[in-house]
Order: sequence, then structure tokens, then C-alpha cells
Amino acid sequence: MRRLPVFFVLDCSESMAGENLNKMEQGLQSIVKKLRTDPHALESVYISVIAFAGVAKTVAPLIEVASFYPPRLPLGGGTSLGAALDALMTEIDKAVVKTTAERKGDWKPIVYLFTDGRPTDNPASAIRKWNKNYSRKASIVAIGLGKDLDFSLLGQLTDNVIQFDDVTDGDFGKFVAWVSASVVAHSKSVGDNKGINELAALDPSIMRMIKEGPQTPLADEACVTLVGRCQKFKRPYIIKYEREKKALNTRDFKLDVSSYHLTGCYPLDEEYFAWSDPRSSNLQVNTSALVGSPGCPHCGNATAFAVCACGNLLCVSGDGYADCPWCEKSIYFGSSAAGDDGFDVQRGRG
Amino acid sequence: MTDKGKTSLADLKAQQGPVFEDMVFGLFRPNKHQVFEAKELSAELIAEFCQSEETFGAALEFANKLKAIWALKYPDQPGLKRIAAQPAPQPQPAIPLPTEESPVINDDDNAATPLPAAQPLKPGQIPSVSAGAIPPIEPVMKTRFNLPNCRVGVAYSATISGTDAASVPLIVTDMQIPAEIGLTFDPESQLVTGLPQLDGEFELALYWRYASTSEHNAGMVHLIANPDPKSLWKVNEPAPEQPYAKPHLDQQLISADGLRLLAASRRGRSHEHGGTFRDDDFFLDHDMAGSWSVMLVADGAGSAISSREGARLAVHSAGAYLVAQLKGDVGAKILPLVQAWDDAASHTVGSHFHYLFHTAATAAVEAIEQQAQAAGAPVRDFATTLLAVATRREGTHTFVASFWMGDGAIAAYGPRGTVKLMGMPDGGEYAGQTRFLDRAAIADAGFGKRVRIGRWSDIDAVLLMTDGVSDPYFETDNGLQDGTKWDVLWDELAPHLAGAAPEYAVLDWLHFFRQGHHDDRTIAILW
Repeated sequence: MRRLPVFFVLDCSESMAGENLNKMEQGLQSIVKKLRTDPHALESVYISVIAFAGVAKTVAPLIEVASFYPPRLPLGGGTSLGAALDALMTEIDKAVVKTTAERKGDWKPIVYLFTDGRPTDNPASAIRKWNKNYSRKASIVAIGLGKDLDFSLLGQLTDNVIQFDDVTDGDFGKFVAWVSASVVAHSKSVGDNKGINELAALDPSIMRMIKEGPQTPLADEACVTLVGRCQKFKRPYIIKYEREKKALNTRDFKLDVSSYHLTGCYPLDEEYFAWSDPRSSNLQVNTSALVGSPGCPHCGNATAFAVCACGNLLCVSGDGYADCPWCEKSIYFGSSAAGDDGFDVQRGRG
Repeated sequence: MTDKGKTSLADLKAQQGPVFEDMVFGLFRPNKHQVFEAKELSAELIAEFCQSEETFGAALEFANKLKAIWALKYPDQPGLKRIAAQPAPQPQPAIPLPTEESPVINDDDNAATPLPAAQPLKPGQIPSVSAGAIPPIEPVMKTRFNLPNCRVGVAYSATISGTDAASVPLIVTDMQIPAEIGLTFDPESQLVTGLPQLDGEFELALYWRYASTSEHNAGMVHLIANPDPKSLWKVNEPAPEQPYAKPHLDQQLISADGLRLLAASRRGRSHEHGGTFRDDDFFLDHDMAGSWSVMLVADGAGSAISSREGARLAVHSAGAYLVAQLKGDVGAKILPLVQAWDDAASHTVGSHFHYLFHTAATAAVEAIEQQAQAAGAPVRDFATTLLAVATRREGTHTFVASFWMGDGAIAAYGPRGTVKLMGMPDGGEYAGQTRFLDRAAIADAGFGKRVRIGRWSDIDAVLLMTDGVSDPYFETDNGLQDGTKWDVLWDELAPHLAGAAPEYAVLDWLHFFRQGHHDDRTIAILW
């Protein structure tokens, strides 16, 4: 019985923190749910999930739809597309079965690659390797969530580059339905020996095929993330600021809005660091560009945006001595008046 | 209380809100008797509810009622406290934007000077209120429980496992499984067992504890129940206006001369589900005079829209031609050679059949080309495979001449454990594509390899089949050459061949369910 391997390569970088990651988890669940109810897909589709942030790892090895249990998606710093492609190629080598005299091999695998940002590593050599050895062995559908993407880079990888605009509430549901339909159609066509290699029709209200990469200027990114640690429980959290969405409506007209608004502060676990790019980053942001300061999601302390002399963020309840959970020194925090100037803090790669 | 005039609810809320928000929020915390199920709710929604004016009003009322009861029961005891307003923030798992300023005012008879209003914090700014005023809260206990997927109708037995946010293992003390699902939980063994009856995805409530304590907490586990794959296959009819209609089932039996031959052909589940026609076809004939039997099967290409017609035209035109030739002069010439069967004779027989099959295949292609032209459609819309056999039995010997174009299989089977495969399927390594009948294939220099002849004793049966039958039983080219796999197939067929209406019995047998194999199925057997 021939299997149809489907790989989901998912961007779990910091910019996905909060709502986006939830949506992606639920989206994956919905897709698999749909596959379970189609007779062709249920018996031929095998799914594998590779997550990538600063590093890339297989979070679900190739397994039949019936046994697939949606994994919890991690969060980490960085968008290492090169590492993601390497992990994908390794997984294909390991898991996809070739036809031999003894055994009928797998159908040509499909890869759905989701990303919401620009790569923070250099994917050029991985892309070269893919195009040289793998592009004939598998097809990739690259889906960009939002606008802050390097479409021309994705275009080097595959002809199927789709931009997904998640503007209104029902959009993500429609998008998930499209992915499910596309997998089902593929499993049906291989089941019927049709061998058709076309994508299902795109819904133009939410998705469009990108043929030539629009020359998006290397402008400020859509979000700023900062990582801190709870003083009491020592657990990490991530603070997310986003540029207001309406400021991004027109690519060409740059509004003079250089500030980011607080959208949330989310608890993390230690896994975050395992998923982050080990290389140090020099990215900074000035606090005068950030509006809003959150409390601590682990213990409720008044501010999660207290900066220790060691440069890291922690939570404090008010002025006084605090034990920095990063450098473990006891530091005095004096209360500051509202009128202080901003200062630079280290931010995540996104 | 001094009469401050009517203080609006909004004012009261501004002063005392946080205390009651905390109280209402406590009703969402997971414990055995929590009032609200928080698991599926976003932090923002919970916060909104806890902070709404309505909620505040109800909570204030409730607190006042409690105060009244206390005053009545314990008039001489202290305890009644004036609530001092607390500054924000509220203790929640994800912190939304801090909103307006909350004035810090003491609700006291002797109104003290109000403290200056606190402004929302800037990033990096440290508030001046010291830590004592706000007690830190216990973090929400995040737990995750796992159960492997189950399948309707398949016996299930699995251990539930779960951990908290720090990966400490947890023990499940109780689980509420709706009776319709068909599973039960045994706390002793931590096993969930039973025969699942219902497919779908279920959120099952449960209670858990740490190994070291006995305190119960509420949790839940996500259980996925897969449907029985058989139940997913629907049967749909093709649209009535579709051309080249073909019945979904077909069968034929010929009994003569002490031998029998049958053919059976059935629409596969894939086409049933899709509401399309059977693409396979067959042709059978036996000539009493010359004792020649002719059998053909064909499989129309899945991607070719009129291939069902192509298959039908191919088997009938090639079949009719072969029958006519074997009845006539050619047949008369071949017969003594077959009976003699020395080296020279067999060589000549081979040449004859090369010619015969070549002409038959050409007749098939011409019939298709004619139809294509009449329909104004390209020839490739009618693409089909074609497998053909001419066979004659005399005494204990069976002579077989065959032609093989495409996938499927032709074989002379017997004695047990041995098979004479009359060629190899086209297609080999890549994909599901095979070779179809067309002018180029006929003109090809390798055409001769498609024609085989042989004469053997102790043959149990001559079989032809489309890949709808050969794939599930043999899978690969190697499998086709394995005599034991043919034994398996023969063992299944033999009982059906023994009865009174074997063509119907085999037609029924063709309905077998094999995961991943849902193509049309056709088989022709002489035994």
C-alpha cells in the first residue's frame, strides 16, 4: 500500500507568540481532523511535523493519520529557515520509502512550509542543496503569513508561493480548509493513479499566489519581542509589541509611526531556550519606541519590564531589592518618574 | 458612613474593583468544585468578565450580603473591614494592556487625603508602591494528558499518562467517559479499555493528583476516535448525462469441452466514492470446433476521461479478430505445430502469434482512433492497457499464447507453488504510470517481448487480471514471480470456482476490502 507523506514545516519564532501560535496549533488539528474523515486520505496520508525557530527539530515523526496526535508547538527566538530545510531533507531521507523490487515506495511527498517572517540565518546553501537533490523528489508549498516576508527567497525554493492575509475572523478557517482540501485532492489523485500535480484553487479573498517577489523594503519589522524571567518562579515569559496593523496597509506609503504597542505577555517554559538560536544577537530596541508595560504572567508582579544591570528583564513588584533570576545578584530597583528618557534593551530576533 | 451623596457603581468599581475581580477570578481556578470551566477560554475573555461592571455589581452585592450575615451572627466580633482600593495590575495568566488609571482612594469615614493617581507604567519604569500590597498569586497549573488514538470497532487498551508544566508525572483518579463512546477507565491500572463505538474528537473531563498527595484537581484529556475506514466509502452514481455509460458489474461463464472459463469485473471503491464509471473491461470466447479459448482484460487509464470506452473497444475488437483468425486458416496452420511441439514447431508458432497479436493490437488502436475522431477528442482520452491470451487444452497439456501491454498480470498457474508468468508489467519503478496501447507502442521494436508462448502439463489454471487484483496480492514485480503468493490467491479463488455459479461467486469475491487498494477489479480464469 503506497503512502502519501505530507510534511508540515512550521515557523515557531517569537513573532508567533500568543494568538498566532494558538491558531497554528488549532489549524493543524483541523487539517488532520478533515483528513481523518476522507477515505483516501485516512488510509494513505502520513504526516510529519517539523518546527523551527532558532533551531529546527522534528516534533512529530512520519505517522499515519489515524495515529497522529497533534503535538504542542514550541516557541523560540529566531527564524532559521536554513536549519528548517536541513531538518526537512534529513527527515525525507530517513522516512520516505523508495520503490524497490520488494516493496512499492511512497508517492512523491508534499511539504507545506509556513513562515511569518524573514529568515534570521542564511538559508542560501540549504536552498541550493534542496534545488539540487530534493526538488524533484518532493513538492513544496510555501505559505507566508502576513506581509513581513522575503518572497523572493521563498521563490527560489518553489514556484508555489502563497501569501495568506489573516485579516478577518473567518479567514484562518478558510485557509485551513484550503490546505485540507489540497491534501485530500492529492491523496485522491494518487489513489486514482491520476498523478496530477496542481494545487487546489486559491481563495482570492484571503490568499494569492506570489509569482515575482514584491520588493518589500527592509523596513522595520512588524513586531518586537523581549524575553524576561519571573523573579519568584524563575520561569521565563515573552513580551510582545506590535506595530499597529493599520500602519502596514500600504507598502509604499510609510506612515511615521515608529512605535510598537504592547499586545501581550505570555508565559514560557525552559523549552524556549532550547529552541532559540544559540548565536548571540545584537538587536536592540529603544524603550521610547515601546508603548505599554505588562505585569508578570507567572506571579502577578506589577511590572515584567524591569531591567537588571546585567541587561536582562525580570519582574518586580515595586522599588526595593530584587534577586535577578538571570545573574542571581541582588539589585536595588529605585522607582523612576514617568518622564525618564528611553534606553536600549536587547530584543529577540523575531 | 458619611453621606458622600450617591456614589455611582462605576465610581465604586474604580475604587474597589481589583478586590472583587480577584474574587471572581478565583471561581475560574481549576479545582474540584470550580464554578467556571476556564480551559477553553482566553485570558482576555476571563479578564473582561471579571472586570465588567455587571460582574462587579453582583460581586459587591454578594459581599454586602455576607457582611450582613456576619453582622447578624457575630455582632460583637471584629472582622468587618473597609476595603482599601488596590492599584492594578490584576493577576492573570496573560496580561492584557493596562487600561485607565485607577485612583487610590480610601473608603473610610474619616476620608484621608487621596494619594496621587498612579499612571500606567512605561517599559523599564519601576512603580513606587512596595511589594507588600499585592500578594503574588499561584500560577495556573498547566497539565497535559495523553491517550493514543482509538478506532471504532477495534478493541482498545491504553494507559493514560499526564504531566504538569514541570514534567512531574500525575495520577488520574477519575475520568468521565460518556457511555456512548464505549470505553471505561480503571483508576487502579490507569487503563482505558473497551470497544469504541463513536468516532470523533472528545474532550474528556478527569481528576488527577500528585503521587505524594491526595488532593484532587480537575483536568481534561483530548481523545481522538478514528472512524472505521470502511464506513467512509460512499457509493455514488455517475451523472445520467455522462457518455459511454457502463454497468458497474459484469460477469460471464463458458462451460464446454470439459473445461470452464469465466470473467468477472467490478467497479472499485474509489470510483464508487467519486461517482464515476468502471474503467475495466473483458472479453471471453471459446470455439467448440477448434477448442481455442480467447480471453482479454483491459484497464482504462485513470487520468483519461473516456478510457472506459477505450478499454471496451480494445477488448472487443482485438478479441473478435483473434477468434476469427483461430477459427480460420491461421488456426488450422497453428494446430499441428502446437501438437508436435518440437523446437522448430514452437518457433513457428511464436512467429504466427507475434503476427496475430500485432494485428489484433492494431485493430484495437484503430477502433479507438475511429471513436476519438467521431467524438472530436484526442486519442489519449481513451488510453487503456490490454492483456490477451489464446489458449488450447489437449489431454494433460495446456498451450498458452499471450500478449501483455500495461500493468496487471497473465500467468499459467500450477502445480502448487509454481507459476509461469507470461511477461512483466510495464511501469516498473516510477509512480503509478504504466504503458498504454497506442501506435507508438505497436511500432516499437520491443513489441516482440510482449508476446510469449508456452506449453505445459499440470496447469491448474490460466489467469489474467487487471492491477486492481494483482496489486493487493503481489504488490511488486518480485511478488508476481513468487509461487507462494499465487498459492494464496488460488486458495481463495478455488472454493468459488467449485460451485454452480462461479462467475457470480468470483464477482462477489472481487468486493474484498484491502486498505489502499480501491481500483476497479477484473479477472478472467480458465480452469
